[in-house]
Amino acid sequence: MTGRTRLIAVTLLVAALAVVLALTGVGAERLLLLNLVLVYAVFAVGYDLAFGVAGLLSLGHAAFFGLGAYLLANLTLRAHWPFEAALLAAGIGGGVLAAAVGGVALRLTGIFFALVTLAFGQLCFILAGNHLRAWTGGLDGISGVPRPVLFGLDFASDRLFLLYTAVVFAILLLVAARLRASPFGQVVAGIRLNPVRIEQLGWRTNRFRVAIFAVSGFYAGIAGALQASLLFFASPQIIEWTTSGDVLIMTVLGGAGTLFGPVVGAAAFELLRDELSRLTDRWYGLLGLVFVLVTIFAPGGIMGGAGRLLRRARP
Amino acid sequence: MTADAALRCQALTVRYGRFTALDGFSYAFAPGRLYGIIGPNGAGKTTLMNVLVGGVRPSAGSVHIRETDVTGLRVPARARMGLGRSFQITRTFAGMTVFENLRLAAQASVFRRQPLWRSARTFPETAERARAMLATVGLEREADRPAEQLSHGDGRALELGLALMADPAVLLLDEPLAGVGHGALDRTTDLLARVSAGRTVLLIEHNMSAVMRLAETVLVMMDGKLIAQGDPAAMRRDPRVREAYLGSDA
Amino acid sequence: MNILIIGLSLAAMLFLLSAGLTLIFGMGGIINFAHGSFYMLGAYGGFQVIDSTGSFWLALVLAPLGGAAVGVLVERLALRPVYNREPFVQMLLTFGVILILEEGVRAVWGLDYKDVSAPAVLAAPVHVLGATVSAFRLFLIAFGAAMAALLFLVLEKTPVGTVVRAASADPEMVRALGIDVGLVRTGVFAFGTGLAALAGAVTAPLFPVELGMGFGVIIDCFVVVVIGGLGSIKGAVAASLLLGLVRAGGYGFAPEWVDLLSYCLLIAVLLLRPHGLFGRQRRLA
Repeated sequence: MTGRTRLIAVTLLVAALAVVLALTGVGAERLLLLNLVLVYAVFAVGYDLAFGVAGLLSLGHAAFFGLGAYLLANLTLRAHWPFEAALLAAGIGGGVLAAAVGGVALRLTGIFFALVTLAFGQLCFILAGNHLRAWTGGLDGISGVPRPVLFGLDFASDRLFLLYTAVVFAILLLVAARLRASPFGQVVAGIRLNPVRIEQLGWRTNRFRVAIFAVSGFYAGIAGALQASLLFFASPQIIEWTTSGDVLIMTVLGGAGTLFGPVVGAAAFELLRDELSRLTDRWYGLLGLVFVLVTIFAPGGIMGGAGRLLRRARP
Repeated sequence: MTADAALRCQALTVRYGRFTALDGFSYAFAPGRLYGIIGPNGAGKTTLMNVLVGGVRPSAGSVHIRETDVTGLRVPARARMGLGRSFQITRTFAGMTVFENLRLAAQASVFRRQPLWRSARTFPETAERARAMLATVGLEREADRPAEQLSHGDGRALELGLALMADPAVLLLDEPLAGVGHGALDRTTDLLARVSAGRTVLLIEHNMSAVMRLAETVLVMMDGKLIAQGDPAAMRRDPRVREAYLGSDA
Repeated sequence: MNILIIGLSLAAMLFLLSAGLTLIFGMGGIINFAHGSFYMLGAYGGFQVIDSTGSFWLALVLAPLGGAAVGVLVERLALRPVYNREPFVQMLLTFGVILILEEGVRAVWGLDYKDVSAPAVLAAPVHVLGATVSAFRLFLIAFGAAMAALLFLVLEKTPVGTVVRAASADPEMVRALGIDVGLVRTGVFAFGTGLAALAGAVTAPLFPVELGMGFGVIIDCFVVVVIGGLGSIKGAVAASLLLGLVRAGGYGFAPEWVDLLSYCLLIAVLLLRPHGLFGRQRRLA
């Protein structure tokens, strides 16, 4: 067992513990929040596979997230698929769309890549709101998205649904960890650090980029589907570019390029939103301020800052 | 030409707008020889290298590896045919350690498809190759140091190690001695001599004494053309070479 | 006739907005996502001035000054510390700035949308070539054209313009000449945000002034800036005209497809001619 897998084992244990705690001790009003944290953690962990690992700045992930939400809503409500099959299809749909967008957009790099993904995302937003009404419910969205029922157990309550999201989150975190540490993940990281050298070593960079972008889209699709189920609602609002901005903010806030950074970032984002909105109406602005300060003064995000403090504290 | 050339170029021309960087360059590089390529700045040496590896598409002409036309192939495909290259500006993976740099490079020859599920640390084949390369380029003691913290000379050694990892039959070295301090110069030149054995090597270098020591054949370029070629001693005496250098550098 | 007038007035607004955005991009490669928020700020500022003084014209002076002042703060406090980091960090910060500006507007003006009416002089429709058109829209067209001409004059003919152009082409060179590049950067950023605020103020009578009004507009700006070529004022003029007329025409025939079409255009231009339809293709080595 390497150090990294041990770390993962420990974290999964902690996550499981948190779930047990949640099932017994946490008040009902916090359950929705915890659910949201896990859903966005899935989104952010997947986003960081593209952004932190491969160095691809996407502003179109809202589209993959939204596609996941609508796929789950349609497949469960209209086609009467079982929840798990629809969830998987949502992930695959997100992945396929990401592969298509990436396949086209990866002709470009840097800021131009970001702009193309932004344009694709907004295109999907307009399509969902105005053109595919039969499939998306137009601006009203689709309400009544179901929660899963598995082995006779109905996850309709927020408390039980937390268990469900925690399991999905743990599985996907583990997959991301393995993928990042694998030889494939090393090549992808190498592409971010030095694409010219990677090509000279005989690897076609864009094949790896498209592949990791598709995986990232898969995570977004799953997260979007879970969010729709959590809120019983799939809305075109989540496809607007601000959703892509949110997941980028979470990832950077927590620490891009680290496994746990996006998780911490998603938690910090949602907790700040919740805590600050309790204290003041001005939470969104304060969140912006926190984000600006972290970006300027803690380049590695919360995880990077914590790492530096730990190293300083050690003799 | 007796045997097949390891690398052959035919009337290579590269134009940028009205500027001609490479002008009808033809040459057949024989297997196992070390060629020094010299010429004043702007003579087209680095452009030649970029065209040979596939990074720049020529406006005209063709490139052949062991008599296979590779003109339409890109960098990765040519690399897989045994064409290695070290860069003038070191292209290492900053943020990874020296060992991780070499292990990543080793993956290219060890795996046909990159494994997705096991940690890269757990494959003995890549680790062994990386360790062997550490010894070859003399970086054993720097193995766990992040690549961006290396001294200039050690950075050059790592750059060379990355290029050698796939054991290329043809090796293109773009100013491997640039910026190497006096203390490390002999060591690095020895290293170049050692790793060149059994390969076709094209060496671009401004350090004349190193070129004269290492090269078996010297090619002189100017204004994108090959103006002279021969053994090092002859080239040193050649009036055209003197003129080329004095004409533009003096 | 009306479609032409609407298209041209839309083009005028798009130009004011994207001229600032493209200047800021040309200067430091910054993609300012908060540009739409400055537009919103200008609209609210314009509303406030008109509400307090009753003068639309005073609003046209004060709102851009306010936008520029906030721009100075943003550039000095948020962007300056990260100029040496990766380029996307500046873009990230502008995301944070959006949140702060939206909150600021909410704190001062609340959640309700505001109505601004056109000044009395321009309220009545006028008759041009037998058609009845809005005098306010005619004014907008003239205003946009005048601003475009002014921008050209300043950038092409004055020493200030030379410095700005030089500083965006080669900051190191300009620094070597003893010019304070930091000051130029602040100036250009403030000027760009001032233009955005001016666009917000001058078009306030046309649209409801509300929170989030900048989100949609920023995407249109990107369309103009990309089609025109990042950093090019001439391109911005041409692209604004193109997009304004296409949109106005499109609203008449197939309103559903207008947005879709402009995004498709944006994607096509990015993929096929990333330096814009009108920009010179730079060679990517």
